[in-house]
Amino acid sequence: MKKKIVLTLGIISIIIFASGITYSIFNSNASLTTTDQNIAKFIFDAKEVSNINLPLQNLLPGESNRHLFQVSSIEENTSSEVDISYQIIIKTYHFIPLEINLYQEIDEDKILVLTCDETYSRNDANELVCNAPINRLLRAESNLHEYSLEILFPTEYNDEIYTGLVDYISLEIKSWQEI
Amino acid sequence: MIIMKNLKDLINKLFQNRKISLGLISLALVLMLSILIPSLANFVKEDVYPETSIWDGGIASSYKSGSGTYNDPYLISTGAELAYFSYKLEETDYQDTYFKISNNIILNEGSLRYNPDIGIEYILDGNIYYVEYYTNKYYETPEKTGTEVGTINIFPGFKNFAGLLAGETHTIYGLYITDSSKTNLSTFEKVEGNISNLFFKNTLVYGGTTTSGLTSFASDATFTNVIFDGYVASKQEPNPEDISGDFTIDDINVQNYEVVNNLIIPELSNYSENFITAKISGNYEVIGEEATIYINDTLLTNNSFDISLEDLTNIQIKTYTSSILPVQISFSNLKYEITFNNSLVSGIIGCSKNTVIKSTVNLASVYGSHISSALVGEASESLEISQSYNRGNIQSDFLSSGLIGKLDDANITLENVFNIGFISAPTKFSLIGELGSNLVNIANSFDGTGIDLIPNIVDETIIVANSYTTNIENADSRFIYLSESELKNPDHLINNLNYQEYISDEELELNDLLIWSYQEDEFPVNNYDKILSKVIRLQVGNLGFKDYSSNVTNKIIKENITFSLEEIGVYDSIINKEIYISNEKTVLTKQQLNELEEWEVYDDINQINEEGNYIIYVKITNYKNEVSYLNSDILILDLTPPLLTLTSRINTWETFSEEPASVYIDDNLEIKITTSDNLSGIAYIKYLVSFDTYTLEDLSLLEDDAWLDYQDKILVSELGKQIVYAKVIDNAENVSYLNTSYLDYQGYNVEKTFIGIKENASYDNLPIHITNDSAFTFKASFEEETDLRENISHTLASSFLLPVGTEIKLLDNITNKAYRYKILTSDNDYNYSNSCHEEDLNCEKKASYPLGLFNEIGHEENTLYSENNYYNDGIQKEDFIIIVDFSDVLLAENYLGTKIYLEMYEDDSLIRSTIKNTLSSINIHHTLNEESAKAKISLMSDFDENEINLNTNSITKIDLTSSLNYQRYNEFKIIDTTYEYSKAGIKLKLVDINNNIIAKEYLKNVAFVVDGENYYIGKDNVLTITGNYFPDSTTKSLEIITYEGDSGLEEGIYYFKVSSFKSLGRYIAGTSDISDISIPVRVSKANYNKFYTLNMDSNVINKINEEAVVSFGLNKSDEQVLPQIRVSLYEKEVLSAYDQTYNLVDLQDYVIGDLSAIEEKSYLVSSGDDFNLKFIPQEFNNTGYQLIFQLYDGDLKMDTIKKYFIVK
Repeated sequence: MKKKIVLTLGIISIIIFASGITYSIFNSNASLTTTDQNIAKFIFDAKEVSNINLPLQNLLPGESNRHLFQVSSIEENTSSEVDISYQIIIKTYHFIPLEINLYQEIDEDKILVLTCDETYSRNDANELVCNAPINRLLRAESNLHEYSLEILFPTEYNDEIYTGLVDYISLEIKSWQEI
Repeated sequence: MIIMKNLKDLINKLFQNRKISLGLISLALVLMLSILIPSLANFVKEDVYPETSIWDGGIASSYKSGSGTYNDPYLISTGAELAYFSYKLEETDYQDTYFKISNNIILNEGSLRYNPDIGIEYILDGNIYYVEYYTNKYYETPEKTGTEVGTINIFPGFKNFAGLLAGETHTIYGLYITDSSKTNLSTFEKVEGNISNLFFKNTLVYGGTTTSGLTSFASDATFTNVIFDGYVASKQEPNPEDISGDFTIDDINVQNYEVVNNLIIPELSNYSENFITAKISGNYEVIGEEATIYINDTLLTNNSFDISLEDLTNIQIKTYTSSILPVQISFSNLKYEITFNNSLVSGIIGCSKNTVIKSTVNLASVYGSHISSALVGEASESLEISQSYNRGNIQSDFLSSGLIGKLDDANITLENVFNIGFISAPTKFSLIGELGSNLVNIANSFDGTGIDLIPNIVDETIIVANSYTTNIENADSRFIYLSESELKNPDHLINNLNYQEYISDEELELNDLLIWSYQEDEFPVNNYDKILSKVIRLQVGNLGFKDYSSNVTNKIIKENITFSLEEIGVYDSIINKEIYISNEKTVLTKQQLNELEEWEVYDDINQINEEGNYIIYVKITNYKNEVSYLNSDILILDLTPPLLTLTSRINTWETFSEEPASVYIDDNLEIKITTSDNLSGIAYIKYLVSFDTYTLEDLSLLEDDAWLDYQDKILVSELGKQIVYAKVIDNAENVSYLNTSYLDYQGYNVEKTFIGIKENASYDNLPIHITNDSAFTFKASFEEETDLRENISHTLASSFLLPVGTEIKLLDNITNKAYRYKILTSDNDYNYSNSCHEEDLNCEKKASYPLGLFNEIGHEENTLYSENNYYNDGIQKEDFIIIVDFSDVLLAENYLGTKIYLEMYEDDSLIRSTIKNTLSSINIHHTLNEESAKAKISLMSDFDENEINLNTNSITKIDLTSSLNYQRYNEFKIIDTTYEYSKAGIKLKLVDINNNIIAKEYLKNVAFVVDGENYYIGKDNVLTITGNYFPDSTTKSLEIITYEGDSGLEEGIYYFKVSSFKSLGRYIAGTSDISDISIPVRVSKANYNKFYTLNMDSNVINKINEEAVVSFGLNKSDEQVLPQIRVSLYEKEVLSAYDQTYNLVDLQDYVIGDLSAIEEKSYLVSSGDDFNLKFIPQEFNNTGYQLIFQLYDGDLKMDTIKKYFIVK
């Protein structure tokens, strides 16, 4: 009986101490660098670019456009030797009631990365800034992520007040190495 | 769980044994009592004097207990043990030995009183006896002859004491010390230790010449919280002492007539009352021819004199010369010799050295021949006195002081000390009698009797701070004048002089400053002084009063006021107890009580049986002839129950009825309770609404929770036959009950009143505000078990006389018959004028329309409504729908707040009406602000005022909205039911400028599309569109499409007239308001084609550029007119795709170069050619912009083109 009590007390002590240590382990942290090092680029219209600018005009309700592009870490034919993290940023005034969706295309699959709408905040230049989740280009990968940007002008906005409106969409990329 | 179960089993087992359970119960009772009894003792501690025996003069053989250490002090609890203490002090001074007094000690049963003229008196059981000096014998007569009546105990006193004596706030009563052989007489001969918390009452110390209450000498001693009351007097036999000294007399110029000069010798005059013999001697010289000199009638001869004096304040020198030449007398070698009656008498300490006195009070009357004082006779070395005062009489023939007699090279500190006792002597001071050369610090101290505090000798060794005098003529600037009332003000004393108020013994233990107790209009006193001075308690039932207080509260007495005076200090001899009973609620002042003559001697328990307000005053005269007062609160004897009335709009009830009558009510009834009780006032008002009847006895037996607390009214709102009972209780618990009549609350229930003749969801919940030609409907029903009634008749009542043309329809849902009645003439006033008695000013007039007037619909005119009792199986059930229609009425008045309702009579007596709170107020509006109250049709459109060019290709879109606008009375819509069941109609026609309708043949190039459907012009040349039922609004989208080509119509201006109205089919129904709009139409032979296009070469302006040139090019065919182009700039209002609002800005502010303005912010930019605009990007915000171009042919606008761009 006495043995059992000692054993129980011992187990309780171990649980209390161990939980404290485990908690400490989970709370360890290290700082990351987030500086844009311009390592990732877009490949759009067969060109390697840092930004993609899409003017929006003469759109009619019911129309949709799909723009394909890739994200690559290849620069001057030299692959990065480490993993690269990047983030795609969409900027627009959103003066036309467009549905703007960014997809990552992996093989046959289309994964919705981001829907850029007015729930996002605007910057000092009044642009709506939609930040996609941070993605990572692994060194072992082919150094190429494929994306499509789909822009839809819903038919419900078939009204004179929406005709002739002008807007633009720009895509920017921010990237850094993971050490 | 197991432990709990075992415990439970154990308890069960224990209680199965009867003896054990009885034992446990007894144990519990003992425990409860042991808690309860000490608790009760706490409540009355202040008044309890522990039983103790009177000293028989014997000496105990030991102390009660103890070994004299700090933890085990010697305990003294009786007079015999106190005598043993005295006995032991003959052989030891008990240095550093601890003693405690553990009980009040009574050394003599009666009280000892001293008066220099009468001698010593002994007051016992209300009798006064006379004591022979220095003996224990007392006699019946002042002559003290014959056999003594009895003896008293003379206490031997204590020798030197160097221990620590703690009185534990106990009192020694009846201490009598006297000895003819002793010069120094006191309770202690010398104290070199500590004495604390010890009180003396009824004390007499008589004899000796250095006489003191507590100790003759104190050296390195501390006295804390000692209160001494009684008498301290030096012996009456003379105690001669000689003094002599020199004095001077100024030279006297002798006249040749007799001159008498009063000779003032200050050194002598102070002894004027206690000298035994006095003489003056000296030499004199006459300078001049001769002089005759007398001192007090003794002729001086031989240039010297030696004269005995009998009066030291009145010494006369009489001189005369017969010479006509100047003669002068010069004195030399002047000496005085006095034999005076010397004594040094003090209430507490005779002579002190290095002594500390704290919280110590002298109450004793002190009598001496030379120097008398309250606390210390003569102080040497250091003396600190704080939180102490004198309240006793201090008398002497030479010098008296309220605190210290004289100082002998002393260093003294006085803080928070004062005198309020009566000081009597040729020379008298409140604090110190003689200063000498001493260091004196006085702070936070005062005199309350109007005499000087210390001799007015300015010396830097005397420092006075924050100390006060009540002598307004005070010449000593060190003391500040304050009135007596200011010095009795607790706030002032606490805040400015640090006289901290007593809180509890525990707090006092921690902070000995917290000793002061405040009483109304009194100087502060030591809290124990206050307790000891309360010797009588006025006991009224369970209420006790020991103080005088003007701050009294009401105390309600229920049956009679029985009061008695209880002596709470049984060994304080009270000479006289008097009472005065006042009927005034204002407390008499002490001054008024002093002057009162109606005092009655109290002899036994008193009783007051007559109701009223009373304050009982008690006047107490103690054996020292000190008078004090106490009073009760306001005692209210209330034997009468409160007055009670119930009032409502229909009746007032003042007496209770066990067989109440019945009163019909047709509305909620508010009943108010009015009650009053002149004496004790109302404690509770309660009520009960019951369907049962109660007798007074029933009501008195009802539980409290059967009653409801009355607030400001009782609302009878439940239908049925009920009684309201009220119960009022005064503060003396006298109870009154009252009831109303049976309140028979029943009637027709108006389930619903609505606007129109059928229920319309649009009017739901709207109050009834209708136009003067509208209608309303209400449903009234009744269903209840009743007795069968005969000779009944139904009537429709109206609070106003219904106008001619009013039609009333009655649908009887029980018999399924319909009736109507139309008011055709104003000759009948339907008893409106006579419906109220002239004297009844509150009566509301009503017009009555018996249902017997109503014709059954669908029958002959003379088939009238037949009265029906609607009775079936003990239940009366009625169900009506009543429609009141004013559509045929020419009503030119507004009727607001009217009521129309159903009534039933039995033999002309009203037995049922309509329950008023189910009725709606009917408001009929003829005019509103002097305009018709009728509803108006409005036709709204988004027409932009542009002309339609009839012979060109054009599309004009117009949204039309037709709605019914009700007038509003305050916030309420005035419903016009004449629009019910009719639709909104919209007509369109083309008219020329003379309003002539153009035939539809001329409109062959025009198509009309309404909500996407083609509409065609009818034979009447009018296009008709039918809308929704009123009061819903109707919105129609109208497109007028014109085509190129000549229609044959002459050139000129025409109008499409669009109007809205109440329609029936495609025609205007009855009377209808009509609203219309006009659209201008131009008929021209010119060929316009509106479809111009304008190219803009850039839609984005970058703010980083200094200048942005945007080119515009107009596309047109050769046949088209070359237009003038006007442009305006608009900025986006909201940064969102979902709000396309743009606001006009001034284009001129955004471009380089001057523009040609046409209208405000509108500029002519081209006459048909291509053109540029040079924008200044920095002027723009980061947002979207819109350019609106308007194309004109002369004054005729042909087209509008919008262009958007963004700035980033």
